[in-house]
Amino acid sequence: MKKSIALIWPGLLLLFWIILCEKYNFEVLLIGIVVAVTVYYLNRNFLPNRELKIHKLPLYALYVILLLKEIVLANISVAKIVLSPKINVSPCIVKIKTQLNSSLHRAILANSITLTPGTLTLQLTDDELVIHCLVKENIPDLVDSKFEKLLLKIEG
Amino acid sequence: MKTMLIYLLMAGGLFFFLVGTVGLLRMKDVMTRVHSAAKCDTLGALLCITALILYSGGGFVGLKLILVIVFLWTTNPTATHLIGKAELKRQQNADNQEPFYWNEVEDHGDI
Repeated sequence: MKKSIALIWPGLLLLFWIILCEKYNFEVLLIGIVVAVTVYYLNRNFLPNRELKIHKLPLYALYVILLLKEIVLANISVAKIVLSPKINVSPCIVKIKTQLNSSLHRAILANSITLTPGTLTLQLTDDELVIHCLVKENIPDLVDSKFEKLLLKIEG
Repeated sequence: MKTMLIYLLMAGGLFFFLVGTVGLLRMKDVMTRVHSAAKCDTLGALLCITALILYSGGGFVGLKLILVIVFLWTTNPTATHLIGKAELKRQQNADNQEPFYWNEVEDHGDI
């Protein structure tokens, strides 16, 4: 089980190499495999092998879809604020505790919060996120976050 | 049909870039400007690059453009986060006191 996870990374690197080469023949594949395995071997300590589980991959795909949906919705709401004749913002900074345990999932949560417009992660220390909100209406969504629920499901 | 779709996606992407720029000019302080400048790019770039993928007609160019989206979406929050963090540190150093945190206020009644 653990071995199969480790094989994903050289595979991804090889795919990346083939895309950059724009063709696949024996020469490209040979160089690609050598380079991919070497890069993986040198960076193996930095990759989150222990936290990634192969049977959780569908949930990660679901997470990407949720992220896309949230980004579109939030972008439209920020566009409305910017284009309204009188800018009606109430900027504020909130501290929020997260229940997630692994640092990988905490980083994913912080990056998702930053990626959705209207909210911006300023700091992540242990289990405390410092978040800047553009409007106060965003706060209830942050406390009861959809992202965190899905990530807790992935963890649990 | 395909050309129409490309035009629509490109127009949508450029609209969000425009909103980002207008927001950058209209907002008041660093944090709110970061919001509008960095955020409307996420959807704007996605729509523009999707239009380019359709225009190029798939193949390796399309795959490379998907890689552009992936890297843009990982570097964008990182850069935004760093600008925000720098501003937070500046506020802490400037008046030598912690900034105002909303959830330390007693009443949450009006949100």
